[in-house]
Amino acid sequence: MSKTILIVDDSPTMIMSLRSTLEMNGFAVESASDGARALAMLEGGLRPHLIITDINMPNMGGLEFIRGARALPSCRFTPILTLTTESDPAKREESRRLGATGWLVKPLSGPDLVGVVRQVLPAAA
Amino acid sequence: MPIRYDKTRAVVEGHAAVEEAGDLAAWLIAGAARKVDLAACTGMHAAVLQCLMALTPHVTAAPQDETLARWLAPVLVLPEDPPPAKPARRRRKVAA
Amino acid sequence: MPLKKPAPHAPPPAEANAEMAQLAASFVEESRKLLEEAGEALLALERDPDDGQAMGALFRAVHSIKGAAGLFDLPALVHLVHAGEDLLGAMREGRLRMDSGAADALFEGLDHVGRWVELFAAQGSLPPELMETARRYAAIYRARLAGLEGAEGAPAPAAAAVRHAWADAAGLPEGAPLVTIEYTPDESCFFSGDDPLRIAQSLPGLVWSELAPREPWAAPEAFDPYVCNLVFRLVSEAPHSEVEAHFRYMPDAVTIGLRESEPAPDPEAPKAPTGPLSPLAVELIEAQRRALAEHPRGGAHVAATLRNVAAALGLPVPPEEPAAAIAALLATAPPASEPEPLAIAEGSATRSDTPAERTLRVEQAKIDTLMNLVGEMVVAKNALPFLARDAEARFGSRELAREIKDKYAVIDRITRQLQSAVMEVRMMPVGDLFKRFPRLVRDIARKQDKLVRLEIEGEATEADKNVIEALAEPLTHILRNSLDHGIESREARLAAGKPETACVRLAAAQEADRVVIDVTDDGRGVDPARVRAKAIERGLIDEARAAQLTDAQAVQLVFLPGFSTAETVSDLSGRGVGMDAVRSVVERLGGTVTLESRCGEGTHVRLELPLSMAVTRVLTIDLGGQAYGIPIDLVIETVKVDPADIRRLKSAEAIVLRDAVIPIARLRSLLGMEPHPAKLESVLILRLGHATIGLVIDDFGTCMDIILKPFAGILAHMSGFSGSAVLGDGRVLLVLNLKEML
Repeated sequence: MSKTILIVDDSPTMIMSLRSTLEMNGFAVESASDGARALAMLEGGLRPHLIITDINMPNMGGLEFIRGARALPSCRFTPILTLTTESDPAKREESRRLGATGWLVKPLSGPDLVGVVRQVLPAAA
Repeated sequence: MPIRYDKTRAVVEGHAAVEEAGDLAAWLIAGAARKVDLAACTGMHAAVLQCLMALTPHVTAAPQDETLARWLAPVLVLPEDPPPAKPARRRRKVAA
Repeated sequence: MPLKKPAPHAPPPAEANAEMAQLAASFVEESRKLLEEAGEALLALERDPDDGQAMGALFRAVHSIKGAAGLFDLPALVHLVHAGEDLLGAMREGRLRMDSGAADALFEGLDHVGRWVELFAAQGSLPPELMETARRYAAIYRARLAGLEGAEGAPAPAAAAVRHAWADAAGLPEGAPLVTIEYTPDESCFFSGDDPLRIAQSLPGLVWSELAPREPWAAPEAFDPYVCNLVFRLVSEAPHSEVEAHFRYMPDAVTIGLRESEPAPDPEAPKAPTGPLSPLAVELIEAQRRALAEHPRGGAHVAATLRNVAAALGLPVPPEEPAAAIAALLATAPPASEPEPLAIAEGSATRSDTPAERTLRVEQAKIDTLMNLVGEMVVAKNALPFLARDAEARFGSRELAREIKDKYAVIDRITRQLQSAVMEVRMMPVGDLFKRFPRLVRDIARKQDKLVRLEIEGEATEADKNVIEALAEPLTHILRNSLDHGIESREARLAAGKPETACVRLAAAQEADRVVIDVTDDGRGVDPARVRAKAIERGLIDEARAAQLTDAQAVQLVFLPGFSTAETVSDLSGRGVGMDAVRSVVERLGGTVTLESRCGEGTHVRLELPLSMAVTRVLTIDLGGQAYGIPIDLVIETVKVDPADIRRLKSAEAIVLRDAVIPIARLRSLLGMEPHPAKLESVLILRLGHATIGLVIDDFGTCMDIILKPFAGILAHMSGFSGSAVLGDGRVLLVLNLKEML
């Protein structure tokens, strides 16, 4: 069974790009356009193996989303990667403090993405 | 179900994920003589490893997975000779 | 919007090409939206530099553009946006303040990016010389940041060399330099999704490892499996940087040391790398190779992204096939005994729709198609009354005729609902149009050194997309006129006892089935005397007539074609269009425009437009056997009149209806047809503007909804008609433009 990755990003282009790379590598992808929607999906029973979230989003940003997701019993241990740029190291620190597993730096290259995803994805399906 | 619990033996199969650690720890603490069979285990989360290291159950079978066995050997007391590979695998399939 | 030309890369498979094109189209659409948002936010910030929400929105928009642009070969765009983001980042953190100079530079940068996005949409690539522009703006942005850099202090000093004592006792192989790592995961690291064991196991170049509890284990009953109490000691033969990268997410949890090779290794001894690799290393390399070889398409993707990233950073272009190159390198290592089957089910990836996403983006063309189909449905439906009439008249079945009429009523109702549902989709808030005006007003005001506050109201008012889009030009023109001619200079305003900052109000509201847009300013108003003089000078009206006009009438002269005054030709509003162009656009949409002015106090322009213009309800009439349509909203009533009751006053004719004298015209004579005497004349009572007029026709028809198609080609300039429509029975209905005829 392929592993499910939830992508949270307000940019349809980013979602499309991540989705294409990840699906090409055999992952199943779900997406949400902001933190609130993603949280609703998790509360609705979605159990992704990994979450990739943007930081800057309308409605509910990435940091607040991470805090919310970590409060859900089902997401206590789920790896969460944030999408950041090299220009906001402070956000990385903060996201890590809130329970993010790591970060991906935009612009993303396919191999980087897949490499990091493979690194943080739990081994068990 | 990656960890199957018998009366006194937990059989770990495949990769034991972080979520398993809580149950495993509780189960191991509940009975002093409880044992663990790792023959079919291919990997485990650090939290599961901690349970084995901290609660030191008797390991009845070492992992056949050589990489994992190499990592566990220094920190767990593994049986000297792991059971032969083929029969173990067959047994597992029958069980499943 | 498909790209005309794929990016000029090494030919990837067609599938990947299509995917790139789709991605590019999405990028273009998204960037347009983001640029718009960025512009709005920047305007808000200019008014209030402390508007944190606007700052956040601006940063987010710019940040998102950069993120998406990195997927394409757009080095100039990425370069400019990146510099802009850095500047905004500093502002967001409060290290720099937004001022009008910075806003100008950012506005200009955004304008460039907007143009480049359009260029990319049209051509699929950007000319390399744009990099010059990008560098120029990047330099401007960075210059603003430069002042800060000094204050930020030197980068942290390089960490003191770490030496792990345990490494000496570990019995490590001599020869190659080794990296030693002590990794003490944070107690709560499991709750960050970490698996320290997995992290340790996957360390590149791992040659030695040791694992121990950090603190002695607690008593079993106090043991918490979710508090990490492990410490890993690891040795790697991979480069220091690679090891650092491996632990990049947890720099605080590791110390990394270097264990230098022994001085002068014995030249006779075989070098470590050529010796047999440890089984673990072989395993790792094999895993890497499999990962790279997994997906041939992935390879092309990898290569393209690598090239783009390198180009954006100004680095030398990497080899064409990095995957192949690396694989070739790896091939020197012996393969592991038996490659595991891949645990990846190709094509089984499920793309399930996200339940939380409630909006759907649809191309306008698809809605237009839907609208046209609804239009055809309306026409097809209109055939049923004809059929009912035939059933009765030709086949003598009144029963069947009634059946058909009943069915017609049902289909008519559904069609109406369908129509209004589609119309609803086409409705968009005028806010989408209005949001471009703050920028316009700001730019003009700055150029003319005027202070102008633009107040916008009723952005949520909705109208058909076509109506809104067609209004862009006229509204732009009205606003330009207002700023150019209406608003006085700051000195003049102060001298006139007015506030220095002028106010222009743009307000939309819905009134019945019409949308009303008011543009009001508190400028000097339109001077009737000057308008009269100009109109006479341009030969639009003679002096005697001009003198007869009231002031209110005189100001309407600005709507006459050719009135556009010489002063209008400033670099801002001098586009050769005057208020007559505004009027013709608005009237083409079926609307009206009025202007009121109070000298010295301001001008008020009002546009009234139909909410939608897709479907017109007409009354059909018969004239010489040909059907014509008249927009139903002009018709007050229909009457049959005895010819004897038509009074002749000189050459004009009139009837008296309920004590009112109504002038009448004969459509036959307007269209140059022979008169057609009748026992009773059929007269349509019409309202045209403020006048009531009777129109004599041959006979009345029925009411119906039609999709009015304006004439195209050689008929486009035919006066007297506003367009045509196809009837249910296949006949063509000509719709009369009575305002033009009478």
